[in-house]
Amino acid sequence: MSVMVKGENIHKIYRTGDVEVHALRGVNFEIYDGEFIVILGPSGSGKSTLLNVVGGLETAEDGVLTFRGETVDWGKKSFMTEYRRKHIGFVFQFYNLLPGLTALENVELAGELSSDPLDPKKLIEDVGLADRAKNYPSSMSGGQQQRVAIARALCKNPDVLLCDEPTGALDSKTSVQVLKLLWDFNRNYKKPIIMVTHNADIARIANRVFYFKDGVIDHIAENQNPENPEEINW
Amino acid sequence: MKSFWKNVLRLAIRNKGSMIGAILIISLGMLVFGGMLNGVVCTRTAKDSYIDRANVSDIFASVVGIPRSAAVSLTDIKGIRSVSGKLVQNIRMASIDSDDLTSLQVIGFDENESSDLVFLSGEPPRENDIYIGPRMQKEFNFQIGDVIDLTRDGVDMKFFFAGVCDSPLYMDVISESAYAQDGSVYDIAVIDKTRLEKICEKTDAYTTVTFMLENGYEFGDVKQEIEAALAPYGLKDLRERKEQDSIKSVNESIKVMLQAGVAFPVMFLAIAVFMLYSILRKMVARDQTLIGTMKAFGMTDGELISAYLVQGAAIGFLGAYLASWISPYFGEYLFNDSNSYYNFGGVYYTDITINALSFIIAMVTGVVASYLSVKMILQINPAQAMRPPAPTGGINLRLPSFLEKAGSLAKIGFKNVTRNPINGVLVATAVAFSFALVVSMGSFPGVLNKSLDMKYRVFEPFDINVTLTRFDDPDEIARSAMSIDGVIEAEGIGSFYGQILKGQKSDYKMMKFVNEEVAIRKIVDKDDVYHRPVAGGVLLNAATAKKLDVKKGDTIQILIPELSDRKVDFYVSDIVTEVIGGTAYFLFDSMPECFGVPKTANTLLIRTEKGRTNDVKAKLKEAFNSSMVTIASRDEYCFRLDMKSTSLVTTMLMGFGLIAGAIITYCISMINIRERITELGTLLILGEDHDSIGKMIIVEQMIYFLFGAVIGFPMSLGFCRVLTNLLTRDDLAMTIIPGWGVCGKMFLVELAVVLLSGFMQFLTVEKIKLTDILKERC
Repeated sequence: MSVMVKGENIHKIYRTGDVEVHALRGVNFEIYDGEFIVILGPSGSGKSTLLNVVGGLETAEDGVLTFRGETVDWGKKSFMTEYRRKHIGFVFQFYNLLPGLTALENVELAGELSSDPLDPKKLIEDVGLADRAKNYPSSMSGGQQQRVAIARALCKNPDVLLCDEPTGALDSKTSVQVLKLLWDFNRNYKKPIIMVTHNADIARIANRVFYFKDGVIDHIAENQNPENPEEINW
Repeated sequence: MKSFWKNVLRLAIRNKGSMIGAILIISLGMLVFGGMLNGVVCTRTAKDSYIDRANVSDIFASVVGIPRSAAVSLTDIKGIRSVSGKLVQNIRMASIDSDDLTSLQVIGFDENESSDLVFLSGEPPRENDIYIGPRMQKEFNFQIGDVIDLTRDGVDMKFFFAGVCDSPLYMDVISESAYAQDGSVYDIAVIDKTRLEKICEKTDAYTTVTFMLENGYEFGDVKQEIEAALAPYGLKDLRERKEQDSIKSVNESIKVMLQAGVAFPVMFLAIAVFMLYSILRKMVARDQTLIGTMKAFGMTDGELISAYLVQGAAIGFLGAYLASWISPYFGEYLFNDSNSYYNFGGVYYTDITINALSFIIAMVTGVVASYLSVKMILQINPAQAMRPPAPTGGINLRLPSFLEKAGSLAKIGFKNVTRNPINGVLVATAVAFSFALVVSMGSFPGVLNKSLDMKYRVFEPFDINVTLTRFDDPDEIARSAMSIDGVIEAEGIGSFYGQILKGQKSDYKMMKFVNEEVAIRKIVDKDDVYHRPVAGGVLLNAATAKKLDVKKGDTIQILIPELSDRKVDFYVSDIVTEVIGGTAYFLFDSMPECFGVPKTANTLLIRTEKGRTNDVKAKLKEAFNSSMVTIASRDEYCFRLDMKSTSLVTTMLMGFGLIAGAIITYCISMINIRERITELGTLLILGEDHDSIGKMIIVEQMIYFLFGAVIGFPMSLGFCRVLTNLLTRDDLAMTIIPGWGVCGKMFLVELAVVLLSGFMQFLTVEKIKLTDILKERC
């Protein structure tokens, strides 16, 4: 497997007035094609910050991030926009659907940003919401909204899918459905997924698990036999 | 990016109250802009076409009398292309009614005239034909063939009404003794030139001489030579076309409309920008997570902002579109008012350029407001997609001591005001704007009434103004008048046309000579301060002083052909800004002392016993030879009519201001309450009752209202100043100040609007579904 994303000595500092928070303190990592990565760690350990940096949502103070060998130019806003547009897909904890668009339209929106989109209608069917395609987010449950959000993220046909606590706001049954969708995507399309979670049980579906502590990767655990989300009990 | 645009559009539709509010405010601005400008353009086109048709001259001179041959020789002056002239004479009418004293400015008609044409409704007049101006014709309903008797120096002359006549030079015909035109006592008339010459006993002579200039020449180039050439013929007045009384009066009316048509829409559009800014800014602030999400997905700032800009442009377009339906009616109404008043004979049309300009201005306004509000998109970090925005702190003011012990809701209500200062400022500004606009516009009638009351009943309380054809000693005239039964007070004054000179500058004015102890023709400035002329001095009207660059204490020269053919030095004892009218005032004693002529009055002012004005007027016919009579109450009535279009515009703007204020207050209040649905829902879940929340809302609304009223008063002073500047003319210097009565009424109206908005907020609170509040994530 080839390296898709690589980070070397990544530092990130948040400044609020005189207060500085060193969120990442020289993080090194590699993400390979087709991997399912889970990032675990306590609150404030830096896991979401790493996701943001990888996704091009935030810039790091120091270090180098490469995507398929090309250095991500943090200083250039247009490059960052293009990077996110072409390569990155996001799934958020609170879904972040556009309230003025129906489920299908939310998915189509992402398709409009991509030069090689997947079929929005098929994706809506794949996430099991064909009958709710014309519904607005306000009339859908949290689980349904998250499935729409996943379909939307996938519609761009991204190279990497980044998920920030995608099940954080869902019950266990719905969470399993959502994780299964992500797991299937990873398997079927051979595209890497990086997922941040608090839930240690979810780590069982990953190929590798990054354990974060105090802004650094404390250790990485490899999982030789990732489990199907439907087999996990929590 | 059609999906994102769709989202922006649907969110706008969800905020339809606010969006419709913004559209309506823009629409009001464009309604005033389009309507008034279209009215002005059509009026100006009609006026210009009227003037072009009449081939109006470039320069006008008024003389006691000049032979035709001498006038024609003035073409020798370099820069003068042609000279023409007319015999014009004020003559009284004798035949209408025994009680009426009406006068005509009779013009001798010459078929060979090529300039300054007078338009007749029929054939050129034969010896006994007479054409009369449209106002007098309408007033007395003259029909073709009616007998009209004129009387001059006791000699009666019979004429037959042949039709109506008009001319651009007589659009605004005001008798020398009045402040406003009144067809019931004075208008123009046209008779055969030869017949008029016989009446005046002047053959081949002009009293009005007009000049056409060569290309490239201006009035200033030939003024001095014309003055020198006409001085021997008793030059009474000399001015260029734009200063000609009638044309100037119309131009000033148009100017007021034009200025109001620009100034007031600017106010409305500024408010629309403010409102749109606040609405969109709140929408963007609320949606920053979603905007961050879009950025996280790779959308560019341009793609995101353009959706809002298109929305802003659409709001502007809809505002202009709505206005474009109504503004033509508004414009036509204004146009018809001027067109019929001045007899332009013009036709109303919709100027496409103004329509297009309205759309462009409205759309640019929408886009600018949108850009100002959504430019914060540039600052939204895509990482904000990952987390909901933290609640903003706002300003945490220390609670006033009386609120420390108050309940939680009172505290929340007070803190909400300070926590959302922009909301507070918006509602307060809406109240203040509406208050200020309505107060300033609504104060105009009060100021006008007070000015007219003071002028006609306190400063100049005479009932009848008689222009005499035979001059006499002022005291003698007054004594004669006092012998008439029903006369309480009488005063003779002198009114003469003349020239005021200061260095190279000069101006022509009707000048007044009065006694030191003026009784019923007091000279009072706009601050109600009395002024008296002094020996050897002149009280000078402020507009003339400004024109000639004269200050108090300066020495000026006066030339009054009817008194002397030499220029006399006077020092400016004071400069007076009169509310209405205004001229130069001298003491009667100056006549013998400075001009070397005996004291001579040609105008008689009479105050009559209550209800006896008509009796006295009838007796005046026998007692005095007069060319004109003005009844003060009628003059006041006509002056009010003259101000009708201004009053109409101020009333409309008052209405628009009230509507705009109500819309803005309502919309911002509703935005405010929608932002707080979660907070208020949580309070309800915690067990708070609706009434308590309603009281809290009322407390908040009252705070906004009080702030608005506090800001509104100084703002109304500013608006009054704008209105004062718009209305100020050479002969009108009214200072608009906020009237307490209007302030009081507006205070109550604004209070009602604010409380109604509070009630609407309360209804929204009643509709909150508590289960929805539980689903909220922040």
